[in-house]
Amino acid sequence: MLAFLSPFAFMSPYAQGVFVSGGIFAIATIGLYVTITSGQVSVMHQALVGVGGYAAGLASVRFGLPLVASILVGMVAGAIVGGVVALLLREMNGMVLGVATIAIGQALSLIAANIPQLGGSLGYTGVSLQTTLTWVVGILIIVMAGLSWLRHTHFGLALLAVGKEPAVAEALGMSATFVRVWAFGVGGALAGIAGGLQAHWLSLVEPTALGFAYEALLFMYLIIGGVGSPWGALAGAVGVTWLLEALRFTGSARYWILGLVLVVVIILRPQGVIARRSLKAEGEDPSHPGALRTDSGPLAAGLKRIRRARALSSSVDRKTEELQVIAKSD
Amino acid sequence: MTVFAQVILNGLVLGSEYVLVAIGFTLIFGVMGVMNVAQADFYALGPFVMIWISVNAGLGLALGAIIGMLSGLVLGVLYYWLVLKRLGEKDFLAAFIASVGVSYFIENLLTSVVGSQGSPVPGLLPDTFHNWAGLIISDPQLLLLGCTVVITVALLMCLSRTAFGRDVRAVAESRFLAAASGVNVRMVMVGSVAVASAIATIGGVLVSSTTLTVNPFSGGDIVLQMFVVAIVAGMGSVGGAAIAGFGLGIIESMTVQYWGSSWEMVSGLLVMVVVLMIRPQGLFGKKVRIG
Repeated sequence: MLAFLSPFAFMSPYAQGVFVSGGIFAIATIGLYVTITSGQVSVMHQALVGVGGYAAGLASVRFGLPLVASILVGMVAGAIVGGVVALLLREMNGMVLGVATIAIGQALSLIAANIPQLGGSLGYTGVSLQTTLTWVVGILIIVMAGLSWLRHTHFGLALLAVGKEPAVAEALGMSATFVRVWAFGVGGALAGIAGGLQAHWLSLVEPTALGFAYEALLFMYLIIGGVGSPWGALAGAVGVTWLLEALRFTGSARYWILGLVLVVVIILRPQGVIARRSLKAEGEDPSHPGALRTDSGPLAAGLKRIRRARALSSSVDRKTEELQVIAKSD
Repeated sequence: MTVFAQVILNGLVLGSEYVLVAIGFTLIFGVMGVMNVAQADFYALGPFVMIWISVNAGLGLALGAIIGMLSGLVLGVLYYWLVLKRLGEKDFLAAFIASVGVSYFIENLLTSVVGSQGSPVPGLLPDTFHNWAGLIISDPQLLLLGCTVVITVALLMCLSRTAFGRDVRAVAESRFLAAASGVNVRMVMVGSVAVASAIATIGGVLVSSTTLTVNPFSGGDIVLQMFVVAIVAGMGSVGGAAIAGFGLGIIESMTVQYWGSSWEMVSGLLVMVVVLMIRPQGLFGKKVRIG
């Protein structure tokens, strides 16, 4: 019935299918982008997608909730798990945090595989097929609108500040832990939504999909698209999904081609193909439409101090480079 | 008691696998500050090179084994010049993701070439088992265990006694000061990556000769243990990685014996989380500020 009302009826079911998977990956990747903007890496994002999938699947099959409600359940589950992990690991930073999150993601995958009520290693099946392209695009629009609103909230600004200059942000009274828990929570919520949509799209949630192996794909979408903006994440996920479809004629070779593309992109443009400006650059460039309003208020003073600190640190870097040049010439 | 001793022995054999991957990983991290996921895929590539030389090209097992083991030197140099040289100094995330990309590339290229099911590997030694007062171990396993100890000791000696090792430690301490004192930083880096990759391919060949099979995802299966060992030991500590690797092998082997095989991985992760909570710098790591 809904198919007749769909605004995407002009597309072939195949094209719709590719856009649905691409859109679902995009929502998850945008979540990863939000998490990473806090300056910390999470390598358990795919596990949060799986958590959302299991939660939405259970809500739908066990409790007979409708699509929207079960996706909301997935969203809440993803947000809670993401936030709790961020709280538990608040003392860890950088690489150690990255590895700890890999471990947690892997542990979640193993736990899911060992619970018979969740279908064990075969996965949780029987979720009703309700995801359509209309739902995916609708949710994507809400997510993008939500993110551009977020950028103007206190949390959005704190996220940028903590991500770029954690020490300065802490000195200005922002709690890095608070920001991180929120960043992991919002990222987890988006992952949960993606998981819910995916459960209703594939009718299946597999425990192996929570593991480290699938995590690489999310990073590929994000990096190929661009780590600097949610549009990069969106374009990366949809673009790479289409690229893989277009390369289907090459058989299994398309996966190593993707690996090669990732390596080449990261060598040529470590910030990604799409993103020209990072969020930081947007904040500094008042001519840009998305620029932060920094002309007045207490925030202006704070940002000025951040900039001064950054200028200082870059001048220290310059000095170091000069010294290095001198050292090399000797 | 015999069962317990056998579990420990199995753990040491299993741990050899982790040690041979993790000491190279931690060496590269120490020298370049790069978390090199692709290290584990060189471990899977070694046996494939051996199969191609000795079976497909028919050049004999000895030559195949030697080229398979040393292929890591060439692969490491290539990997350094093509990827790491361009990224290692920029930032930690870019180099990490690039190594994930390389790992993805190698695994899927191998799958395209040889298929995803396991390929049979010709054993270096006949698969004869010894029974020492109830303890059972095979010749290939003894070879693996012996070579792991020899390689680890040799690497530690090289780091502490030779001129190259001194340069490596200097670069690990401070790249800038090492360059200022006339150390050729680039040579040290390319040398360490080559040595680390060669240790991985040697490990791959030795391990595959105990399991007699290898598949393109052999490396991916061991990545997590590689991380756990390096982190528990303290990133950059080669000796620590050897101890932690054998330790993890023993813990996993005990878990399988006394808890159940599906929890094999969980025990290691649990140990890691506990260690990180008590000593965030790892058991043998120095307390430094990273980043």
